[in-house]
Amino acid sequence: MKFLQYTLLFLFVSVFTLHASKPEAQYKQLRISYTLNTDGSMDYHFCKELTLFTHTAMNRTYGETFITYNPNFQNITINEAYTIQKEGNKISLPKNALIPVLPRCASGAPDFNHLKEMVVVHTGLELGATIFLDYTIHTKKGLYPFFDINDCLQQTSPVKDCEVTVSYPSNQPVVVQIVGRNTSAKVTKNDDMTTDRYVFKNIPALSREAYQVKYDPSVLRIVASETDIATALRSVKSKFEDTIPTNLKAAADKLITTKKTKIGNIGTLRSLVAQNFSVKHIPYSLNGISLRSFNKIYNSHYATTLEEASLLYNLLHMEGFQADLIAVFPAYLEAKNCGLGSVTNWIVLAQDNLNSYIQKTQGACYYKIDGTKLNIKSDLKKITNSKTLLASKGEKNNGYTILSLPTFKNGVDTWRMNTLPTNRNTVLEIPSRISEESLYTIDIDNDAHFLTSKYNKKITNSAGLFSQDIEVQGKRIIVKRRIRLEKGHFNRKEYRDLRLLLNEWYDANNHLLVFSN
Amino acid sequence: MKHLFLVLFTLASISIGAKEVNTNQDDFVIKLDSTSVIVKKNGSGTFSIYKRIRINTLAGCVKNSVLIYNYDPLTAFAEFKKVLIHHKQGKTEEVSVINACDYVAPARAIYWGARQIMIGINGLQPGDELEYTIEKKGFTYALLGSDANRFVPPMRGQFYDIVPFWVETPTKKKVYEIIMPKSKQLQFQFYQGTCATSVRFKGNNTIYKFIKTDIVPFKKEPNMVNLFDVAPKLMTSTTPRWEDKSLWFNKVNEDYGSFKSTPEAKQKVKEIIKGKKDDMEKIAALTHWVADNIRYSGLSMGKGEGFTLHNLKMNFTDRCGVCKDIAGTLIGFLRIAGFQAYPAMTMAGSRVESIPADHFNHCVCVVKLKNGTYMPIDPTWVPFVRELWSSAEQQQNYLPGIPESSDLCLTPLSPPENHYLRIKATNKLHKDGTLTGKFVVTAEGQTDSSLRRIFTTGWQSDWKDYLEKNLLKVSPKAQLISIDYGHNPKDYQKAPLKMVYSYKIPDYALVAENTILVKPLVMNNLFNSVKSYLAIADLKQRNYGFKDRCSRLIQLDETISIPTGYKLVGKERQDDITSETADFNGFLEQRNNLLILKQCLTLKKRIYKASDWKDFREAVNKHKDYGQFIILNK
Repeated sequence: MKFLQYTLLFLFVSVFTLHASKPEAQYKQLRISYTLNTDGSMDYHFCKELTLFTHTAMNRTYGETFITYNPNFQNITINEAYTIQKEGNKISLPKNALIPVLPRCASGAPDFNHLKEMVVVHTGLELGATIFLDYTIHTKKGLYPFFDINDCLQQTSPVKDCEVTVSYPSNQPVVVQIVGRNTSAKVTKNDDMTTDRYVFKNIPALSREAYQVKYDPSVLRIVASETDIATALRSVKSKFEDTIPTNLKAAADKLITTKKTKIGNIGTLRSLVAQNFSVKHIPYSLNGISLRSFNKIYNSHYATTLEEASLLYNLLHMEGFQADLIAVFPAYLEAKNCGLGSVTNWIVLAQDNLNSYIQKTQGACYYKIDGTKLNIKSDLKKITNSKTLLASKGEKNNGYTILSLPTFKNGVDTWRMNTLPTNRNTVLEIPSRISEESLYTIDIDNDAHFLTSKYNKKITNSAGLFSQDIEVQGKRIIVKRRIRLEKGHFNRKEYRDLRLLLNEWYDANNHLLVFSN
Repeated sequence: MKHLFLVLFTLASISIGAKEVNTNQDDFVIKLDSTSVIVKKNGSGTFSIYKRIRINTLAGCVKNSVLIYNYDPLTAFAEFKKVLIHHKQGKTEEVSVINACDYVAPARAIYWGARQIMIGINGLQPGDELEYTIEKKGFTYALLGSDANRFVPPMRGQFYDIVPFWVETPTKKKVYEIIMPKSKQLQFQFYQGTCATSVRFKGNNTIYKFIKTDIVPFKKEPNMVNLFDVAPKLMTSTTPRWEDKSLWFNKVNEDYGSFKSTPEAKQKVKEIIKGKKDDMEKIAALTHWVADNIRYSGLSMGKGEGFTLHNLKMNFTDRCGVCKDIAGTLIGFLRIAGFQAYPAMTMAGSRVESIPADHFNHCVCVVKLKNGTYMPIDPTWVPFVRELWSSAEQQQNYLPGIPESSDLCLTPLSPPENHYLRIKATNKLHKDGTLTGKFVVTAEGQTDSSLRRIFTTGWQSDWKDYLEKNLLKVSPKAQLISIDYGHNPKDYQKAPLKMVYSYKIPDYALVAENTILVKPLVMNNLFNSVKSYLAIADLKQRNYGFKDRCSRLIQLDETISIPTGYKLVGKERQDDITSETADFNGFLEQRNNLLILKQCLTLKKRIYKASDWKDFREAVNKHKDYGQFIILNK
């Protein structure tokens, strides 16, 4: 018995401790400061000290730092950049290791050709080397309507010491939210400026697990704004034109028909806009809320997400449909104290098409462009699939026929969660809350004999339900498979139950029926 | 040479179509694509690139609403000369080229400041025709001098060009013209197709013209060889022989001093080869150190960038570079260690023709062995690989830049046994369908590299889940009991990779009344990611050559102890196939309560001819056939 205990202990050790993960690198220090100056300009100061332990860190991961900026409003200063090699040699960054290039997001968009990405190629890297980088971005007044921060402080490697400061004129208060950790700022006042200082020790690396929560309140993040959400959104609305390009209106007029339903016509207009433009994902941090004129957008055949959404919003109104332009925020934030930097997407709500979007975006909250919050509860996604099959169409093998029940392209099968590992540390998010039922009708169109076994199953647990029933009705077999997952998120304990249900759903053997000829 | 340091061409598939191009079909159609080059005595060229495009759909408008052209500012200059929109209604609008953008292109890995010119074509509508001309001066490589000399190629007086005559868009007419002094002799060949060709004299010039009409894209075959190997292309060069290019490449880097040693490099070499007994051990140690520790990230040295190998001082200080700089570091190291080593140019991805037209995209090195032969080594392609020359580059042309000059060379086939995957599984099948057991997987060469990648370049935090996932691909219900991958699986030089998995898989077999259906575990999605041949589409017939990642040997053995009283349904199996392309032999039999499965698949090449397909397919499909359910009956 003691031997068995030792054996089990050994196995446990061999499976789990051998894999105990070490970091690829470590930030010894991370210092970030955000400053709103009295003249309305802003400064972002970033300083990192990063030690590399592995080739993975040295090569693909941390070999370069990419800093995007908008030269029309911003200038970048590299204050210090060098590498200290393992034995202490200091390798200063050569001039040719700073390369300003066009950011990929602005590729193929002449109107955004002024944007830049500074590539800092860290030289002299080796295992044990430490990268030092210190830079400042100064932003002139005008790029952003308000002082606005939304940055993830957690990094892909652990951070030993992290200091973050937010400074602003004392007569222009800024609301700071720290997400993912209970902490408070040390506030100091000098002259007319107030500084909130946050210190964090031993910040763990971001998890690399799959299917993490998109809007995860456990990830350390700083969010700050000098304004409220309604004011911020109204600043976007004020940029809108009241008209749309004549050609677009004419094209829309031709497509709208009384033969189609209202939803059908809305879909047509949506397609018209989508087909007219290639979308350029220019982030708010680079472009602020600048909107080109609708004529310019239309003629250029490309648009930012906000430009495309605003054009569709206006087009729907012009064609007599009710529509709203909606800003999407993470629900864990106090959105009322957020700026536009926290908007994760812009969508157009026409009729009830928001529901399907919400199912894909759990943990989000929605604000109309006038600043009012939408109270929308997401529904459970309900899917019913059915298929009729002939037993004789199965694969023949030595006097037996093996019939595969096909998977479907609209439910859990599309999630591909069939290799979920046994253990998990972070909360798992499924693509949507779901209730799915697959019905298969199999006609035995020959003399084959159906070999039944333990096909009927039902599992109910904290994650939901899985069931599979097979009923033989003479020469017909009815297979009913069901899975119901009412939660969108699963913690470590619930994860095991979720995995149990999904494994049954995905198990290839549960999709096979065997007949003897 | 202009493609020397690009990784691979990613051009769309095409075929030579016999039918006429209808300019009213497709999203857009190119009515005329014409390039005219005026070559000077010093070899520099002025390119006039003209296109007229008919737009048929909204998608065609979106695709042509922005024109982009790439150039290398160190050696060339490009600008839009004229852009016109011929509107459907009859009006012609000139787009102001003053508004064109000229900027440093988006970049990753190679930061040489490559530029693009771009212009927006506003207001394009279906039915419009777009017409534009770009003028380019220079080459894609050249030694920098004064402004006037910037465009002169480093092989002064020489001109070459590689012109794909395939298209991504249906093209009514494609023209390529070279106007060069009569004093120059041009050799050219049109490959893999035909075109109308003419040579005319005009004044002091000779005019070469190549025209092809009604070129349509065709359906590409999956896994086919590069389009340069099958599609129509024109190769031109004034350089007489590859030997001339070899000498030039040698001289340009020796003259620059690319391999001049430094005290720091000498110290590092001494450290690396300490205790190494013979030449091969020293070569291997130096190659692997450079491969693993000079990372791929290319900075510009300014003058000479693109074909000059950075000097050892720069490389050893920066610890980064592109393939030529990584190769240059190794050459410098090898010379410090007393070897004769030189750079070589190669073309990863496609064939190099006999016309010396610089069709290269990669740089490697050669080292002279005691027997007087040169051995190619590629440090860029062997980080964490148990090879000195990556077998993912077998059957590949290369040109050594050696003092005595060289003709084009070809790397040999790598024996499949150098890249084996061996899985030996011992399993027990229980009455309820549960499978318990253990398997040992070992791998070598390119297979070792693929299987070991999670340890060498993956995140350590991902190891556990990744290794479990290998088993979960067999069944989501698989339970990993233990895994042993040794003390330091990152140490790829020590020995071929070996991993031992122990597991339990509930419901592995289908149990139905007195019948059990079970798949051999070794054939059930186990390590499919390294079985690259499984990704080769099973076409009935192939018109073009095809390629695998590497030659490979697959040996899969499995014994399954089955519940008492059960017998194999159907006949035991034995198969034996042999050909010059691929071999397969395998058997499945029952001995008492043991099912014994053995199979061996030998795939002998990386690049195969179309005529190899029959034998390759037969062997692979026979191998796959052993993955079917085994049926047991009581």
